[in-house]
Amino acid sequence: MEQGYPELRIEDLNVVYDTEYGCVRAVNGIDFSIRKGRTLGLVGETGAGKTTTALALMRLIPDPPGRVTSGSIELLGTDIMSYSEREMDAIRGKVVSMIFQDPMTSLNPVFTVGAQIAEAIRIHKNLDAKAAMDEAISIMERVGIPGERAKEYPHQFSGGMKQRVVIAIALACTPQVLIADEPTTALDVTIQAQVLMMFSELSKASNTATIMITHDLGVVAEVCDEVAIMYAGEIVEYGSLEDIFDHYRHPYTEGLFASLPNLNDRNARLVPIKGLMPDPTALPSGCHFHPRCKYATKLCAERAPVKTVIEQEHYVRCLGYEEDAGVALEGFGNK
Amino acid sequence: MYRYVLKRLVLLIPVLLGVSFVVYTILDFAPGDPARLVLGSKSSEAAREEFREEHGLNKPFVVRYVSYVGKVVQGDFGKSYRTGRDVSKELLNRLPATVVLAATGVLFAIILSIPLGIVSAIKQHSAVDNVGMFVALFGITMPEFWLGLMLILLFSSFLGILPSGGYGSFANLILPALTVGMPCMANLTRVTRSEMLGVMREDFVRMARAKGVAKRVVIMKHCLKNALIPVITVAGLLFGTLLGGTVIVENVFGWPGVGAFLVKSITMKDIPAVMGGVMLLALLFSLVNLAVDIIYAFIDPRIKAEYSNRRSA
Repeated sequence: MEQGYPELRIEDLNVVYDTEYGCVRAVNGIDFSIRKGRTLGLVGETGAGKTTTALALMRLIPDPPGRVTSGSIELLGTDIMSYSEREMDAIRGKVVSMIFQDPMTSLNPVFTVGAQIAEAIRIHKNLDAKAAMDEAISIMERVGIPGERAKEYPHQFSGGMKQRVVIAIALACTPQVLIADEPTTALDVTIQAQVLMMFSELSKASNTATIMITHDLGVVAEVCDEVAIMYAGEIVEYGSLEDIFDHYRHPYTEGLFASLPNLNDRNARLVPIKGLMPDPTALPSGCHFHPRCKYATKLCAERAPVKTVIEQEHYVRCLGYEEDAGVALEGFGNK
Repeated sequence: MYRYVLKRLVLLIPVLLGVSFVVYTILDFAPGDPARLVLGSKSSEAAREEFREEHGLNKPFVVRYVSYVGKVVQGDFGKSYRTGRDVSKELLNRLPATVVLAATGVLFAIILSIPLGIVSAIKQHSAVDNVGMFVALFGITMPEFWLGLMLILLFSSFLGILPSGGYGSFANLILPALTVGMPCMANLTRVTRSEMLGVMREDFVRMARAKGVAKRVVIMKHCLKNALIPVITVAGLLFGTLLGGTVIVENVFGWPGVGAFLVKSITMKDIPAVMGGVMLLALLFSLVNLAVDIIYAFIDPRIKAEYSNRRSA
C-alpha cells in the first residue's frame, strides 16, 4: 500500500473558534494522508468538524473567529501553513480545489456561469478573456452542460445544473487535490447519483486525490477508497472501505450503520444513536463519545482513548481496544 | 424592457395627478388670502376683489382645481401672482441651478460614501470604521439649514476661503453642494457598509476565494456588484430628501434655484407658482426612481429577466 507519495498529508490539525460563549474546539488533532487517484471519505454527523477541516485545508477558516492552533498541512510535500495570502491565492483553485455544500448559494448571482468558470482559468493559466472563456465552455461540456449556456446566469439553472457548474469551476484547472464538501446533499436523489457518477469519473480520469465529505454512507460506498469516521472533531475510526464497512470496530461506526435501513430485512427497526452531538464548547471528559455509547464504562469518562491500530491502516480510537484499559465491548456487532 | 419603461412612464400620470390634487387642496385650505399677501395689507378691498376675480379665486374649489388641471394638460401652468410672468418660464429659468446643485450633491455623496462604506465593512470595528460611522451618524442627524450655517461660519467667516452665497462659479457651488449632499452621503455610507458586510458572508464569496481570486478582487468585483443594488435603491429614495434639502439650502445660500423660488411663492400663497414647482420636483423624483429601476436591470440579471417576462398589467 506504499505506492506513490501522498499528495496531501495532515498532521495533528487543531482548529478552534473563539465565540462569546467560549472556545469552540471544532477540530482536535486530526491526521490523515491521501494519495494520487484515491478518494478519502470524511464521514460524520453535522457539527463533527468536517467542513472546518476542509476549510482549514484551503486556509479559508474565517479569522476571526476561527484559528488553526496547531498542525501541519503538507501539500505535494510542502507545508502550506506558513504560506502568505498571495502564495495561497496561487494554489487555491489550481493545486487544491473545493466544491461547496450548497450549489444554490455558491454561485454569484450577478455574473454569467461562463464568466465564473473562466475566472479561475484566467487567474491560474494566464490566458486572455477569450481563450479562458473557450476553455470554460469546453469544461462545461465535459460536465454535461451545453456550451451555449455559458452566457446564462445562475438563476436560469436548476440545482443539479448549478452543482455541475460548481464542479466545473473546481475541476477547471485540473487540481491535484479536490475537496468535495457534501457535493450531493442539496440535490434530489435522482440527480445525486448522476452528479456523483460524473464526479468520480472525472476525478479518476485526472488522477486527483479527493476528499469526499459526507454524512451519507451510501455515497461513501459508491466513491471512496478510504474512510475516516469523525466525531466531535476527532477521527474515531479510520480504514479502507472494506475495513469500515465489513469490519468496523468503533461503537460510533456501529451506531451509524445501525441507523441505516436494511434492504434485506425491511421489518427491522432502525436503531438511532441516542442523544446529540456534544456541545463543542464543553466536550465530555475522557472519550468524547462516552455519554452516547451503549458500551461505556466508568473509565470511558476519565481516560481519553488513543489510536489503536487494528491492522495496517485500520485504526480506532476506543478504550475497548486498548489492552491495559480492560473495557469490554460486550455484545459488539450483535444487532 | 422597453414595454416596462413605457408602462412606468404611463403610470406617472396618475402619480402626478395625485400629487397635484393633494398639494392644491393643502394650499387652498391653508390660511391666508393671496390677494392680501400679493397686493399688501394696505391695498383697498376693491383692488383685492378685482385680483380675486382676475385669478378666478372666487370660484368653488373643485371648479378651480379642474380648470387648473385642464390648463396644465395643455402645457399652461398659469402666471405667477407675484411676478405676473409664466410659471413655466420662471421654473425653467431656475431649473438648471437646482439640477446642478442636486447633481453635485449626489455625486459628492456617492463618491465619498461607497469607498467609505467598503472600508468600514472590511475593517469592521476598527478606528476607520468607528470614525466613519460617527461621521455618518452626524451627517444623518444634522438639519441642513443648521449645517449650512455652520459651514458658512467656518469656511466663509473664519477661514474666508469660500463664498457664503451667490451663484456662478465652482467656488459658489462647494458649500451648498456639501450641505445638500451630507445626509445623502451619511445614509449611503451606512447602507454600503451593512450591505457589504452581508454580502461578504455569502457562500459565493468563499467560493470565489477558493478559486484563487485575491481578496481585494473578490471585494471590489464579487461583493460590490451585489451590494450595489440596495445602495442604488436607497440613493434613488434619498434623491427625494435631497430635493427637499435644496429647497432649504437654496435659501440659506441664496442659490437662485427652484427651491428658493418655491419658498418665496409659498409665503405669498402664489398658488400657480407653488403648484408648478411642486409638480416639477415630483416629476424629477419619479424620473430618478425610474432611472434607478432601469439601472437595476443592468446590475442584476434576475431583475432584468423579471422586467422582460412581465406580461400582464
